[in-house]
Amino acid sequence: MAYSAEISRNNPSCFLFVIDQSGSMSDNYVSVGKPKSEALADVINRMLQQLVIKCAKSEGVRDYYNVGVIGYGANGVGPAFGGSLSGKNLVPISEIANNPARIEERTKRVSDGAGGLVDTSVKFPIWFDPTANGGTPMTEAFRKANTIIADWLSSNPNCFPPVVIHITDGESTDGDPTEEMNKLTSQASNDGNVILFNLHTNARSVNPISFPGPEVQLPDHYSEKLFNGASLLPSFMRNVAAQEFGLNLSDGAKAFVLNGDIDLIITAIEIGTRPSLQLR
Amino acid sequence: MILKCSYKYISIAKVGNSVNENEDNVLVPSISQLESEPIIKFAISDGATESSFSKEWSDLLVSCYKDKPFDLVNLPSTINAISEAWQSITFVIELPWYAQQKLENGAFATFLGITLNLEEKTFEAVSIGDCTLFQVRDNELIYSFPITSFEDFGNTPSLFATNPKFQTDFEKSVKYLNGQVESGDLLILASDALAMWIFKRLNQGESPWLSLLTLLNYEDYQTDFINWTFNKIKENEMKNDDISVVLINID
Repeated sequence: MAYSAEISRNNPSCFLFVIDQSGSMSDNYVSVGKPKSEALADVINRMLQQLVIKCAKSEGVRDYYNVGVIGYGANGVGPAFGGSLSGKNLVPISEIANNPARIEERTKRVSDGAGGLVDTSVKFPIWFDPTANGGTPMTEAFRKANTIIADWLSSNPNCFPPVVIHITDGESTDGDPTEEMNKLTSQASNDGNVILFNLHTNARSVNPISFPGPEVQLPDHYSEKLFNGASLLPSFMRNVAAQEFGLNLSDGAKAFVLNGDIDLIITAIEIGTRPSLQLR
Repeated sequence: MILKCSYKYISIAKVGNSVNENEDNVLVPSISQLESEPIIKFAISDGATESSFSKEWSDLLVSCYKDKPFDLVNLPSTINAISEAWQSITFVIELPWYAQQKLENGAFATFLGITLNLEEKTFEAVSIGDCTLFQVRDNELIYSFPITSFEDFGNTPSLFATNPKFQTDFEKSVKYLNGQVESGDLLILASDALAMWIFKRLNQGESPWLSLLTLLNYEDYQTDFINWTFNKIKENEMKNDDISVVLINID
């Protein structure tokens, strides 16, 4: 049965994020009043923080995962970690834990235990900073993802299949990415094919579509390409969607979002990074 | 006439983990307690993989079952006292940012305790989660507690939590059982992976305790049990997990 491999230090899995850093990512999300690039950087940093904490044990962090963040924009395509992880593609989660570029103090509102809220200071590690410049070399980004994932699978042939989460707000400016997307989703470990999420985000979130099946009517040829390139959501992810987000998705639901606001993008990332529940 | 009891037990780490990464813990009586006392206690606790310092938490839970009350009225103060003991262990350690943040969530563990009254031929059991008690008489299973079938196992068992914020309602999640024992009875306390295997074999019409009794009677049963579970895991008959079992023979 696919997607049933144990995730352990002897058999780790991986997550790869492919992030659009083109100029249009500097537009503000209407709902949060913050540029898309900044809001997404916060989401990625928080996700990394949560993954580190999930893998932390009393003796340190167990390497259940390798994680990579690839950015594409004005500077072409490349790894997007800052600090001492700069230039690295896939990094073991313990190395991520011990090497944030910096740790910021942020204010968080928490319950005061008497029905009110108080501000409290929390540590917020930063690995990935926002960038928004230039074009959208999406095809090259998928080519890079294919190389990284092929290397990973050759060393980890029995792993729980890698999950690739691609977040964009625009159209490819370097040609049709279809072939590279298909190549990516045809890569597989002995436990199943790579799972590709195509998450399209929009500052105003007009007519959002999330996890649709084949019956969906899409507004343009470009969104059809992203829809066609995305993987079918495996049943365990549909179960997470149902149990934790109340989303009842059909068998044909795809790992695809169109015009999603930041909350919908967060939901999709939560669903996509949930193989972490199978840690042993 | 007062009944007597004897026991064998083993607790091993999941395949791929070191011995000191085993987050299960077991309470068994000393030989002198067995010989002199009519009231004997056993317990088993399975620390949750996803929390940190859960091995320390499961250890404290089974140790404290020896002399703290676990009845529904006293349980909140008992768990609170054990949680304070856990905090005193963990809060003195200097930790990196991620370990500190993880620690704020606390630790979690399932638990099963049984108190035998050999004079009155009765027992009281208390449980949270999916560690399971099996009572076998004349080679037949007469009771299992709190899990009664393979289908009862899920991915999110109820747990004792160090942090009261994450504690499920005791009245709903903690189960109690009073029973009677007879000479010749076999009681088995098993953590979830082995309990699941027992139910699977029962569904096939087998008597799985016979294999366990045979295995734990070998002189070098530690090695034999490790090899046996390794093969079961490899053949996908058992899930790869920390495994603990206590076999109690009533004489």
